Amino acid sequence: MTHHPLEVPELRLHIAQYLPLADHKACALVCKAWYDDFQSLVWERLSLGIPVRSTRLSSSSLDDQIQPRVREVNDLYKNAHLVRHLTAWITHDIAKEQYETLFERFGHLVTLEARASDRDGWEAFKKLIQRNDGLQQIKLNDSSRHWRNIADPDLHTALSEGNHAQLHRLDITCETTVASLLSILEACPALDELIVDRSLATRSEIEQDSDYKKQEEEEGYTSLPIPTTTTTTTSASTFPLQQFLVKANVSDPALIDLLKRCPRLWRLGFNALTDMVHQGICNLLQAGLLPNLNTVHFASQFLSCPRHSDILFSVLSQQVREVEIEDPYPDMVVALYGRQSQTLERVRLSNVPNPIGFVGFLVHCPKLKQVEVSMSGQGYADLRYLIASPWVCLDLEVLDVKSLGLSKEISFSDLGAPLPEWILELAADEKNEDAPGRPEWEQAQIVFMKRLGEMSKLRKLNIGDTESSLTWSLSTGFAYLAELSALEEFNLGARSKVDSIAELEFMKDCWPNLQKMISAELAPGERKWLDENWPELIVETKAANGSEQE
Amino acid sequence: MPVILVSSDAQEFKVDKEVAERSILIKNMLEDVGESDSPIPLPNVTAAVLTKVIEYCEHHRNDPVQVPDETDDPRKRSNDIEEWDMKFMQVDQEMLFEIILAANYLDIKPLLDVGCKTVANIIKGKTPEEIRKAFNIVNDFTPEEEAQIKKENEWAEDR
Repeated sequence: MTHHPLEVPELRLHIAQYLPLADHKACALVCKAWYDDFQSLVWERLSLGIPVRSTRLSSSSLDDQIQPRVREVNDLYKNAHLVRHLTAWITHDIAKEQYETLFERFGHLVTLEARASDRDGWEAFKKLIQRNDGLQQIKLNDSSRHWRNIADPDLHTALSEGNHAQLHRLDITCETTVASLLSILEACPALDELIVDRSLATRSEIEQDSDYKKQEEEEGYTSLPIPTTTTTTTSASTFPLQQFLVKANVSDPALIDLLKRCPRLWRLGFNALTDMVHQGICNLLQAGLLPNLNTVHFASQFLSCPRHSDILFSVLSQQVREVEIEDPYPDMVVALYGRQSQTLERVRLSNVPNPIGFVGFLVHCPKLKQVEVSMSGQGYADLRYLIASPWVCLDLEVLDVKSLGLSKEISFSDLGAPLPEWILELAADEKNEDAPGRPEWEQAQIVFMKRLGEMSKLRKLNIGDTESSLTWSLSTGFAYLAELSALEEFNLGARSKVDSIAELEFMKDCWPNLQKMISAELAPGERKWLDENWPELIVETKAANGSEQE
Repeated sequence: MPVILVSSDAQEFKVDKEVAERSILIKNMLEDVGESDSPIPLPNVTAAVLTKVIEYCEHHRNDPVQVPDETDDPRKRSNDIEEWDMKFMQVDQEMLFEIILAANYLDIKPLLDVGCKTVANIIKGKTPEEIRKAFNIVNDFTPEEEAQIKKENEWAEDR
């Protein structure tokens, strides 16, 4: 009664999950029984038309007879029904008949990532979506460069005519309207994540754009048909939407009515909003109509819109857990750790004008797990800020502030604000205790390392860049990092050119989980040691000018 | 309290309850039966294989219960086998397959995973012919069929 486990299809698939595609291809050729299992794995994911490698289904690979490897479209047709995850880009130069015939064969798609640069391609994708009602995730991208080129007003019909009960994530980069989004939400009862990367304009603004429209129509493009505005009824049902990101500007106040119907929303992201929309969201928040909101993203704004930050102040105090802000105003940053300090867990700030806010998070937010900060222009954080007061966020898992330029010597005039007297005193006390007789910057670094060494849950530590004058050597505080056993990725930037195997040995002993190290440079002896003793460690070196050396 | 397991060839094994319960099948049986000292027959497992399986369960008796994979990475790694498990799996192919089948029957997921990873590592990097040789599989394709499949699958590429 001895079976071969490889004769049991269930076990064959269990084994297959540990194998990459190349082995799946080999296994499909072993015998007929294996073919049945492995062929569906080989074809599970398919990418078409991505203009990276010439072997893809681009105009050339479909039409050209001179291909290094012969690929026949018939073979593609034959196996298309096995594809579950499709990535397809359609550009102007692919013949419409070819992709239309092909698209008819896809019937079991679970995820679709699509790009089209003309109306025909877009229509083909809409039909594809309509037919594949098992889709769970859709990402659509209008990759044409023409403004308001491929309008989507019928995307909601494509979604509602099929029975898309399983769709839970929709990510669209195309022109759309709030009215259209409402119909999509009505049609897709499981949709919990919605991302829109084009502006949501009002009807009148779209009409005003008729000049552009005419011009585009003359060029053979159709533009956004004006949607019929849905009248909001008082008894409107609610949607299960949990995450909603609008990455472009919103001027249509109907968005407020949509948000009102999403009580489960916990994540909300914006770009620029008009005053009316902004005020509407603040009112919703103040009325407690978005009770679960705890994650807010503010994308980079191309329109100046300073009152944006009121949203942050309108979220119930002590509720925000995650915030991402591009181009933050200093008052937003301060408000954040003032009002939300007890609950904040993840902070991602980019283009911060002044590094001081980052210190505030370390000092005021005890639940913080992740801090990522990048500076605009030249940012310098004086180490003395960082060591000055006790850090409360000892559960920190990710500290990524590599563009902060942690500096040993900067004059006070370079900083946005003078260093308070009490910080200086505290810093002075602690430094002298830990490293008497050392130069001041070195003492500061030693105390800084000691603080870092208390964060034993750190998985990613990235505080080095070419501007940084931190150095890592066992004698300047590096040894304090011995307890960081959870560390997976590490970048302290600069180090001495002298071979120092002792530091590498220290890392290998103390950090068993380390997978990746980024270092300003490696001496030849160090590289040799790593090759011989720690070959599985991924090492990236960056030259002083920032170019990768590998 | 120890549990008595009986192999297909009627050999009895006395093991700690904690060890036996590494097998979800036995755990559920014990829960259904309640307190009882009657031996548990395992008609699908020979004494030789059961000895190995018990050795594995003894070694891993204190492991935390495996949580279902939260990572949605569809491709799992096969190069993360612990050293002890690696040595444990250094057996002839027949025994390896017996262990996998027993782990599947007894529902010992970590053992099934390690066994399947070991087989995956045997397959890795081999040509179809080498795979057939390794597992004694007869090729039932004509050369034309084989060439056709090979050509079709040129479409599938790693992203």
